[in-house]
Amino acid sequence: MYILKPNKIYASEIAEFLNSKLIGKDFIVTEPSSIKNPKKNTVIYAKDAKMVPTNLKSVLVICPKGKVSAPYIPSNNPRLDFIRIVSEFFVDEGKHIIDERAVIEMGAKLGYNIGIGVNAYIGSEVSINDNTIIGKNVVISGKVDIGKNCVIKDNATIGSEGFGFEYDDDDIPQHFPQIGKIVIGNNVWIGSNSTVERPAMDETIIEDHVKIDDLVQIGHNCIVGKGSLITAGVILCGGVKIGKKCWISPNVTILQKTEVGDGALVGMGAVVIRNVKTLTVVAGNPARLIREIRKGREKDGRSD
Amino acid sequence: MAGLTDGVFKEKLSPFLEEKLRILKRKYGAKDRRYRGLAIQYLHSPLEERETCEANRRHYEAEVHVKFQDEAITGMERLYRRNMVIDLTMICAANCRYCLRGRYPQRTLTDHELVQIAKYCGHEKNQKDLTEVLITGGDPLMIPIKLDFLVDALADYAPNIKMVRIGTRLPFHEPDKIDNRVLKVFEKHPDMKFEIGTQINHPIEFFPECVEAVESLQDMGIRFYAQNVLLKGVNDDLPTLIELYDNLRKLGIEAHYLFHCIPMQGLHHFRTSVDKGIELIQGLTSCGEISGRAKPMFAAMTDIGKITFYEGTILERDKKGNLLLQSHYLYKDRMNWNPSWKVPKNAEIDEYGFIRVKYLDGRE
Repeated sequence: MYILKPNKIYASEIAEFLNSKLIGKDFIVTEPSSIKNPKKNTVIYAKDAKMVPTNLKSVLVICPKGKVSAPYIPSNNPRLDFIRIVSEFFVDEGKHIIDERAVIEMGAKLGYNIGIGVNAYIGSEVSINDNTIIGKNVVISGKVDIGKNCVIKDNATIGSEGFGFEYDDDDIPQHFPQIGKIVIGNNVWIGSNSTVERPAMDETIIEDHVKIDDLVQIGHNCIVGKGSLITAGVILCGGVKIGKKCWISPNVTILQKTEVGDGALVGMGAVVIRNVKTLTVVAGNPARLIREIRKGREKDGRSD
Repeated sequence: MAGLTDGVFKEKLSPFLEEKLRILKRKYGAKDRRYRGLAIQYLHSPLEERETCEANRRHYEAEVHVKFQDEAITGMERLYRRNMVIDLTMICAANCRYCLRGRYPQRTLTDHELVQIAKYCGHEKNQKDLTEVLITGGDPLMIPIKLDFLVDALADYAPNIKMVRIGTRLPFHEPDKIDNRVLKVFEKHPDMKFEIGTQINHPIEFFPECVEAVESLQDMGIRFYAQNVLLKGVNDDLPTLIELYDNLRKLGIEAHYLFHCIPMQGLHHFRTSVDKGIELIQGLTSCGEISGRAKPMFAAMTDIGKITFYEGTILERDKKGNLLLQSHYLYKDRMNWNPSWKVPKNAEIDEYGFIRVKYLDGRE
């Protein structure tokens, strides 16, 4: 994944890249650093101009307009602009290489520029599109389509048999064979040790730009809507439907076949047993409505 | 290739060029042709502020003004049938003083704008004619991640684009920046052919670091071609041109164009006469000292596009120093390709529908 790549870039060039303007003296920036530990010849960001220390030397600041003693680039969204700068100028993603110790079954379809880590297993009915990176020890089996530019981190398991059982007349649980398909869109991120289960029938769907943190369980037949962020430790039972641009906080559990509306925020540790309405905040066990989210304030309460 | 922020085309050198100029000056002195061959190209001269007959602040207009999916698209230029120019960014590692685009407004296209451009290039009505793009600015290799995004978008939305040309001087401005991040752009799309248009105006520019950077790109299967500029005091003599074009050939860079320096404000002192250029190109092409494989075409970038000088290209000369040049661009074709294009004031359509244009000559 990413490694720091020092560069020699003028502060004015960074401003030009952001279509903004450098206020203060131009100088060469070599790498990023943080507001807590700003280093010489680096770029940092601050959410508020008032937070910027006054004794900075040769440090470029990305922050909202205000009184800043160091050279700075005004920004309405300093964190986003900082991410853009770091991604464009100061990191290298490394070459995408298919490790010879990975197992790729006959019949698997691989696009261009795929990276596959050591000991990964790619099953025969798996299709992986261009530029996707599969980490070390990742297991992908069953019918799985993965889109372009995805990142599947180390130890993730995609397409393992779903957890479906039915008691028979002798109270013995009988397994419902899981023969469905998993469809993962473009630019999806799936964290380390996370699992995405194969459905019995139909599809488990993870739409474009969904980002799933480490240690997350996505049950069979779930649908996760475009751009939603699912943080660490979340458990989605079978058939859960998450809308678009939702934020599911750490350690949330969502009961099977429950729906979470677009733009909703589910607070930490919540146990969701009823449908969550669009643009609302819910939390607690069982999860209750805390408030509604006003249009344009969708980011409130979401962590960095 | 640079762009304005405060209305001033500032002097800007990359750390690499600064270092090389320092070394050359120390080694050979400030009057030596090797130092001057590089320094004149980048160092601001008070001569730029003189009032001269070159009054235009911007040379030629070819911007495509279209509404696509209810949005106005910016950042595209089109003069020719097959090719769309995309101005990705105006950032450059160094500012060439004679830059054609030095006075363009500063702008880097957003990801959304790039997707819209890619969709427009791949639109049904463009699919037949439009087969290539020239991504320039600015220097697109300064922001390889964004360039990569644009190339991906073209691959996704415009499968008719099979040839991607990139205008850059980065291998000669800051060769260290030709790294894995840049090379990666070219390895992802086996269906696309990449070419790099660059510019080397003096033999001194072939520093070992630069040669290495060019070769690393060539190893990716990219073909280089040179669009050099004839600059007074830099390369307006035959021995320099012979050495320059020999070196280009050795490095596997196609000679392509040698441009006459454009008539733009602040560039008077760079401009030879067109006749001097023709004389030099005749010397270069018929001197017997250099292989015909290494010979460029001598051309002018006029307000209606490039015109190569052949016999009969110059139709008239007026007292103010204007040349009337005959092109073989058909007006009706141009309007087909870019309906927002307007015939410049100094151009006219001849009886056959070809466009002729006045071009201000330089002086000796």
